[in-house]
Amino acid sequence: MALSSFGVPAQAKRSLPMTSDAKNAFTFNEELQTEFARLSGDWNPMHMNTASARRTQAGRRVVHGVHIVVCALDYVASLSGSLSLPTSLGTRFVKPVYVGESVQFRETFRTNSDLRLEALVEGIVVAEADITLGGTHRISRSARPEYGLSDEPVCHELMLEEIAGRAGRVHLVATEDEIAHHFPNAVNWLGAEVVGGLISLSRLVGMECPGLHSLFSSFTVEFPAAGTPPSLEYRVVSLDKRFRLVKIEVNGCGLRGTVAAFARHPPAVQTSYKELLAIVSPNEFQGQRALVIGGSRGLGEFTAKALAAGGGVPTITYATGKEDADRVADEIRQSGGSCDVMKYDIHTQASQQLEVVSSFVPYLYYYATCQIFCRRTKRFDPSLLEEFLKFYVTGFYDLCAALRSKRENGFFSAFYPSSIAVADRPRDMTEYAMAKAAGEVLCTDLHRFWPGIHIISVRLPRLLTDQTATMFPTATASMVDLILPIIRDVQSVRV
Amino acid sequence: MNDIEPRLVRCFSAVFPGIPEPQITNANVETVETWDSVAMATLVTAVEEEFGVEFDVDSLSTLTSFQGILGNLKQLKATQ
Repeated sequence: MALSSFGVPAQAKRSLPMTSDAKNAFTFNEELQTEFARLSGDWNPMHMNTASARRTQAGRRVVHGVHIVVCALDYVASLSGSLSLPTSLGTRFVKPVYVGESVQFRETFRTNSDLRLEALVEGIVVAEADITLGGTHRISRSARPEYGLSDEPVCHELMLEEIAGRAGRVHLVATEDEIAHHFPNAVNWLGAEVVGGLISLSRLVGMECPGLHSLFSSFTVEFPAAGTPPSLEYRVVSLDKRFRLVKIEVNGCGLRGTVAAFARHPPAVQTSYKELLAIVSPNEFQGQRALVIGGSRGLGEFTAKALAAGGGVPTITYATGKEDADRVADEIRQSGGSCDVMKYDIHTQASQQLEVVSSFVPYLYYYATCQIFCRRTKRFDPSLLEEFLKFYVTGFYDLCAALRSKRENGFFSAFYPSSIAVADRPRDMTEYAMAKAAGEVLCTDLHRFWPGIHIISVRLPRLLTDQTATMFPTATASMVDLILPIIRDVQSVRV
Repeated sequence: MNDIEPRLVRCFSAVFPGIPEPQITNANVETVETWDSVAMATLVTAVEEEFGVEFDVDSLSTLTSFQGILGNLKQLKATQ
């Protein structure tokens, strides 16, 4: 269904049948994403900035959860003109929805007093909403809504200590007319004030509290008949530091209730170059040139800093994170080290990309990866395996072949990071483990049949990177203890 | 003490509404698709709220199944 606004067009009201099957597909495209950010005032980078979003657990930009909920409400209101007014709404965000994906809405349960809705992507539930019905009169408004439109919206970056006890107020950004234009059916049912209040929850979590590093988990609100404040007042009532889970009481814009959100860990911070200067001997890798694929963050960032701290000259590559790569290189250079930066994309032929490298690089660290943990729709996904194989097998082979052809004797020394997932096989990592296992076989055979090539492949445990960050307290191994000895092994090979 | 299990089943139902009730007592992190780190935090806090207990950080890694949580809960309630 093509939508000119966010919700279901009002004229669709009579043409769509009431059904318990998922019939409607809403594509949350780029245009709607931007429009909802404008309407809600929630410009959090996890929704709006590709480079920032890749450093979150989702790995890509995600649709505003509240956007999905309000569309679901608009959808259900479009199907039935006889719905009684809701007295409460409970919503839980189960899985991320990526920008550009299609979401289906399904009514799974309905009585005179209860209604349950699900939002699904490829059959997987991504959000759930429980609505209690039975309000008997139109929700009244007590005062004119207060607007607070900011030209440069501020996304607050708060420490846990700043979140505890925080209180404030979120003003509406969009006018009632704009809200009614975008969600006509939901506004007919709930009123513009309430829909505006719901939309403001997105801004509360994404911009105000927890703000920049937030993850909206759930909310439960009542719709009191009596007036509520004209803007959304909020107060943090609990903070569970074990899970970084924040509970916030809200009151205003026709609703009153509780919001639960996580204060995500900021992007993983690796050991600093200065710290490594104290750990690595100054001339350990003196003058040795190394190519660090995926050196803009995580293991690659650590490797580049360790090499440079030992006098080596790493060239770090990035596929999309130029800013991150420049940050790493600047950190090294500012403390007297050497580091080059180049773009490298495994989807483009390696030999072509290596043409810009002026002299032969005899050491290689291959940390190219795609998003490892992603929302799954199947137990085994061939397209996911194909993607992993591109990164962990084809891309590695292509690069090794290109490096080999650049030097007469073909000698070089490389590190290929495998994973303990190959043996441990955690849930939802089937394709990843398969691709890494295939990469190990490739390493063994290249090592055997291409004279002069030395490849170290190690099954690494969980290390602290953007991809392995989690809400749940999880032990991670130390990069200094684990990766530094590997670097020393790789660099000790005389090529 | 005897009502721990049915109350725990209700907590699971609230966090994982997709699991049929008869299967809840066998639920674990391997078999429940939606049991990720966010769901885990939600579940643990819901259980703590329901039973008025707080799991020790060190015990969190053992809370990976209905039976595991039930065992931990019984221990905690016994020492209260």
